Amino acid sequence: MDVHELTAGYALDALHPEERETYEAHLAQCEPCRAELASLGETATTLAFGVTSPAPPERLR
Amino acid sequence: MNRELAHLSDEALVALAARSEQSALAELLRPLRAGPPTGSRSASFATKALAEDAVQEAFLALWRTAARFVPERGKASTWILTLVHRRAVDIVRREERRRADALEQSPEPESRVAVDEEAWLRLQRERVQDALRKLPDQQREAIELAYYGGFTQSELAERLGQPLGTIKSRMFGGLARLRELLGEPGMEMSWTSTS
Repeated sequence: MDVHELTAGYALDALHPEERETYEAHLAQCEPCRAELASLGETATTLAFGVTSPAPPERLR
Repeated sequence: MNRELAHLSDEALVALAARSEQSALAELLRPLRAGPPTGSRSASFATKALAEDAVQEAFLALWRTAARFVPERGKASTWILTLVHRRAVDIVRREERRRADALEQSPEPESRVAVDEEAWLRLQRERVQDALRKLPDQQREAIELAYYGGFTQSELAERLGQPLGTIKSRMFGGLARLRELLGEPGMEMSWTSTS
């Protein structure tokens, strides 16, 4: 597994803590990965719109 | 949290259920809840209520024990049906001793979120869900379980019985494809330009 491919896992916060450290160390030295992370990170953030929040209970409204 | 889960494998649903996601459990049990495909109208109310009780109890058992499910030992669907069957047997035995009243579920309360905000959010949601639907199931599963389920890649590899490299590739391929899909004309997420 290429360390560059960890970008998606990092963007989705799905890396094992050790892998996250490895990737962050790599990120500091790899401009293409920083650009890729910025882009994939935006896509990952967009996923938050994919769900509905349940309506609050009557007593809290 | 409501979202479509029908495309997920049973193993993936069990993994979500282990995280106490009610919607995953509901999806797992959907085929069971639907009841018999024909003649359901002729089924007596008591029998139907009993069947529902069995599913409800299996639902709870599943929630409690989902973390113990190991994919190598057998298919998730088999495991679930075993749980439901066990609960059904318990209930029938109990019912021989006493009769239970069925409870009516109260209707879902209506949301009072401002209409325009709701409409905007619904539009965004449809865009994201449309894009997710276009992904191959396995890629979609990897992304949804990571993002919505909070699983790490290693956990997913274990729970889905796949090599870690496979999960990583699915996640990368899926997210990259999602970026393309959401970047297509008409699919922009324009929260920056509208604010």
